[in-house]
Amino acid sequence: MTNTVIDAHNVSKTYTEGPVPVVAIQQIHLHIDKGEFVALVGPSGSGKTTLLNMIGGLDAPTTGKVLVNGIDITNMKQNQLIDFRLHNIGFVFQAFNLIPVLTAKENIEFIMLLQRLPKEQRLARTKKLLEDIGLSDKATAKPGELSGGQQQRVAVARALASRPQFVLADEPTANLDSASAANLLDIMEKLNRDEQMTFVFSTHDNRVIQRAKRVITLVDGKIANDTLQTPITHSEDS
Amino acid sequence: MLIRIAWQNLWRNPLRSIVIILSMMTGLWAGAFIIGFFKGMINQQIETAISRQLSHIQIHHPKFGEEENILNTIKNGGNIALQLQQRKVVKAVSPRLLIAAMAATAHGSAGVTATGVSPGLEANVTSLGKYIAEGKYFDTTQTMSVIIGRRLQEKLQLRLNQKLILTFQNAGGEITAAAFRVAGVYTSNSSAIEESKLYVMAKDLAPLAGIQPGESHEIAILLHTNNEDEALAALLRNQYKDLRIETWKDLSPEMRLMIDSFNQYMYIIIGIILIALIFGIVNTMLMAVLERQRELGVLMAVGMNRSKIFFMVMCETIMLALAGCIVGLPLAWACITYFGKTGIDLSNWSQGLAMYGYDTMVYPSLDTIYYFEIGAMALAASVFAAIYPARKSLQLKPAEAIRKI
Repeated sequence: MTNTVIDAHNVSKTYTEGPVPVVAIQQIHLHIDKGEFVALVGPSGSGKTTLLNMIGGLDAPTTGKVLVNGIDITNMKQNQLIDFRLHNIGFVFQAFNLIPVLTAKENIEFIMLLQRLPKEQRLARTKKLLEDIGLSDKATAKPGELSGGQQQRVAVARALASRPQFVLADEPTANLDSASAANLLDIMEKLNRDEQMTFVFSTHDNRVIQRAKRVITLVDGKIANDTLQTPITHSEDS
Repeated sequence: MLIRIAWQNLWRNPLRSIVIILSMMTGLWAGAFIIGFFKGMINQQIETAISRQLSHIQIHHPKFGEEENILNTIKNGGNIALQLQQRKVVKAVSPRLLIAAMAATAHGSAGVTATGVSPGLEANVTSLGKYIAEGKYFDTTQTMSVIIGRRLQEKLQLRLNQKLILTFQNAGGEITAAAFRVAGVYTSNSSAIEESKLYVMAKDLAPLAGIQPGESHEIAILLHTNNEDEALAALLRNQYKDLRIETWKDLSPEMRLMIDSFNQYMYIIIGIILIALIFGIVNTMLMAVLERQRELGVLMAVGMNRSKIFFMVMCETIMLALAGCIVGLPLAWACITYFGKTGIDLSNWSQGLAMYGYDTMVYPSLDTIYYFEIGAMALAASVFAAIYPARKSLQLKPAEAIRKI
């Protein structure tokens, strides 16, 4: 029984929509185990988001395959992929992307509603997640009534609501001030530590990179460096 | 929750939603009111035709109307009329003589149909007495009196109590002429009738025409309700096989055609309004979908499947249409009910309307079933209109949509 949750085999991605084909990712091999706290770093255009999208089943590789928990998601149909994402992958986006007409509590509960979980289970999990992110008192606030940091914490709770295999976070701190970013990373670290939740970040942000246990550097669509590090865990240091 | 999200999505841009609801409301209100208006006009025309001209059923000699022969009478017309009067569904019966004649005065002449009636019976069938604009209805103690239409009066320059000469061929084939004194002048909503139809008493006309007592050319039957005519006509056809029994729809095929065409016109009117609304809805929903590409992409990314997204967009559209129906149709009902009681005065166009036999007061009316039909059509149209924006939302690729600003 392997501990690998993400397994990318010889993955390449070339965009052919424009007049000139653009190679975004070239023959990447990547294994991420359960409980890892990984930062994908690199300059703009290095392929971080493309790789993240392929790992998350949002985009299909041109060649190669991606396995999540041993299941090949490369050739899944759209509806299969959507269902797979619902039960296996949590997403946190740079722009928070909460549903504006729902409250914080409802945004979190919504994912479990899609999973058709019973009401009691949904409510209990929502309550726990709101406590974990420290926003119990903002349960009935709509996204417009929350600060950027608070919205991103709700987004993290939403990503975790479905009890996914791992969470993909695309530049999660890019729109946050230092205090909010540190607070968010504290929450993610805690979830990683206490619940062995796997996090994969695409980021430019040193505050995230410093907290990562593993840093994968992409340059021109290839892995230039893949190192384990001892994270700096104090948010005050960032 | 999806339905709630759909509902709340509508109010993210309240002005846009209100505009489309208002346009839907106005379209449905206008459509229903126009249909109610025309339906009211048609109903009135039918009622007028029945009460003043055709009655519900008419009985004739089988060859009456095919040959201009004064001898084509119902031999025992008087007895048949008495028997018919005993039936519960029958309100009134009037046996008539109908003779093509020439009416003349010193100022001119006109071809007319002289209708010989029993004043008491005729008054119950056509309410002729109510439409006397000048003079009075028949006085049975007087003889040789005539009631003419306003147009004929003008044409022949007749005044009350002046004489009119009626010339016609009698049963023996001889030309007969007799003078009748003008007792009254009637008005009608049809200028053609006013000009061509005059009434005399049957007891005066029959001896001149050589028609035996009890004989009639026509028996007009007025019923208590409009929906008994076909059933009674079928019974009478069975009972009087040697006579021609016709309902008002048989007698006035143009009226039957008008009724039959009405539903088609209604669907055409509503169809045109709905086509315009469909474009409005498609435009609004397309804008709503395109504005929310990123949000829809996120929903797909986090696991909301395409059927749910499709359902959500459809829900939003149907809610818009429902809101339009909920406001527009009751408003139409209120207007139709109000004007159905007070009427809409079109007297400014009375001459034009009279040419086509319409009254100048129109009382709009629309059966309840039509409101449901219009509502159902509007909802069906909105579902149809929602398909394109909803399909558009399904074509989004989550990875690209998430990056949309």
